[in-house]
Amino acid sequence: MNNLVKRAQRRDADAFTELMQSQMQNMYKTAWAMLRNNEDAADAISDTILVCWEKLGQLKQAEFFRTWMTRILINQCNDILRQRKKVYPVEEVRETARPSDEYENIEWMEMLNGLDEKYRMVMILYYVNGLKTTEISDILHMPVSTVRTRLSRGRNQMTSLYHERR
Amino acid sequence: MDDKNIVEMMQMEIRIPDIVQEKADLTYEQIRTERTYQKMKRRKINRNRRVLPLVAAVAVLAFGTTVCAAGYLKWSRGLQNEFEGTEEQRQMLQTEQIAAPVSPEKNSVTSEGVTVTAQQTIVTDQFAWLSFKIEGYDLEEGKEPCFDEVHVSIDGNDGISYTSHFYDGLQQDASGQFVYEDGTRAEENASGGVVERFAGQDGSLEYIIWINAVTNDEITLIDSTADVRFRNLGTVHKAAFTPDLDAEWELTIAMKGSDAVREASLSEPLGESGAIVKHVKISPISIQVDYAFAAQEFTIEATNGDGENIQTTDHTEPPLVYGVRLKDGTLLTGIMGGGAARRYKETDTYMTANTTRHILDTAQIDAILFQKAVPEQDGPITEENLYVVPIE
Repeated sequence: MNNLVKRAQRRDADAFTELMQSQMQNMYKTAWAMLRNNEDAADAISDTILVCWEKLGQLKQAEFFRTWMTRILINQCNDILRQRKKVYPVEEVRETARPSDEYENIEWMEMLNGLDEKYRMVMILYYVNGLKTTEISDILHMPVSTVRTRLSRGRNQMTSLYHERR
Repeated sequence: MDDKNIVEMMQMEIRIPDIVQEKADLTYEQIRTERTYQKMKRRKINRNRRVLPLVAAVAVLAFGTTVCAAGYLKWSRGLQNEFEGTEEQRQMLQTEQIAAPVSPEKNSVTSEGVTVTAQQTIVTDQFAWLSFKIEGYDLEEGKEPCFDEVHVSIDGNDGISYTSHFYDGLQQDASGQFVYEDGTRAEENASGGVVERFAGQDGSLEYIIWINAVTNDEITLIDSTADVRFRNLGTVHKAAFTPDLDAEWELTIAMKGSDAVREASLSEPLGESGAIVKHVKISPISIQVDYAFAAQEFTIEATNGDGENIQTTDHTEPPLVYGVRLKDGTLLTGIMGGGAARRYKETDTYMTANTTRHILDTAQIDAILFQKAVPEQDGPITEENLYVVPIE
């Protein structure tokens, strides 16, 4: 990936496309976990691609690309969320009509829905994006101790859900 | 269920919905045709640009100063929200030269009828906050203000870590509900969202920049100069920026600050964690801890749905700061804010530095609290889940 980053920094559009597309699973899962609908996730990802293209030259170390890109994506998602300010309490499950796309990913989404909202993003950033707890702390503007607490509780909750389904 | 199972479940391949991939493909195509990001944004913008009368901006300036006749610094709305504390504690930060007003005569720029004024700084050796007042911009009700671009450099170095935002007038009470500055419950709009109050009573807006220099050895915040450039002011909705004013505001702000801290050298092991607290530095708004700690790397391996090996690597961490105990026995917990950590593999040492969301009277602290374990149930962490490290 470092090679792709460096080529993209030299304004190689094909390398940039390949780079961003290689991150599409991570971007979509992160954006969907925050925004909970595909239309907003599409907007957030599209704008993230644009910002990354514009500012990739400022990234000094290619090995930090994923963290840098994730930070941009989260900022885009937060911009959308600030407009909605919707909070989904633990007791409630937001019932929406499921487009056929979401039906195909239902197993993954139901797993995610089983997690408390406050654990969800930390779990996504750690297990999907592969970020370290210190990086997550920086991106989500929360103390590392809070990140670790939420990771621990998120794991416990997933384990409980896993055993319930069996 | 172990970590391997969790990794497999979280990293399972899912189908990217058509709407997401199609929009991404369109974006890639536009990039390939050499259109720049700025041009692409302008295609989305509403060209209904408004220019506000200068008279309004001049009139509002009468309320722009933050230093009262008595010489005390009246904190900005947004920075009062950042740091919980009494008026005496806020004045203490000014006495310590951590918080300081900015002279509006030297740090105020007007362009297209809108005046941006640097009004207050809070500066330590690791963190800094800059507050700006924006006057003369008539924000439409229900809209969120936004600058198209914000650029910050310290002493000419633009490789700094910072975040920034318009203060939205919202706080959270003890039960977690959103309230306004006057304590009233925040209103909800038609779509169930919370109604923000970006404008103060005088109609001005506030913009806050937070700088984190913990992991940047090239930056010195104390007695430095911040160059801040704002470009184009408008509103944002769903990440789409709509400019109202094509304008630029550039300010140069002298940042004083203070690195005065209370320090303690220790050799305090934290239970069986393997971590030893060697040194603490406490300022009224931050805590740094240096540990002796041999972090262990670990890798979680799993196989995804395509049969590919996937790995997640991380390292163990020492117990982290959770708050302080005062000499009168009061526990201040859950006060830690953003910051950074550094691991030094060569010397098996570890450092964390975080802001505190509560102004601290450092002389009244008699112990640092570290989180021992994550309680099974949700809720506040009690002293049995904390390591208590007394400091002289």
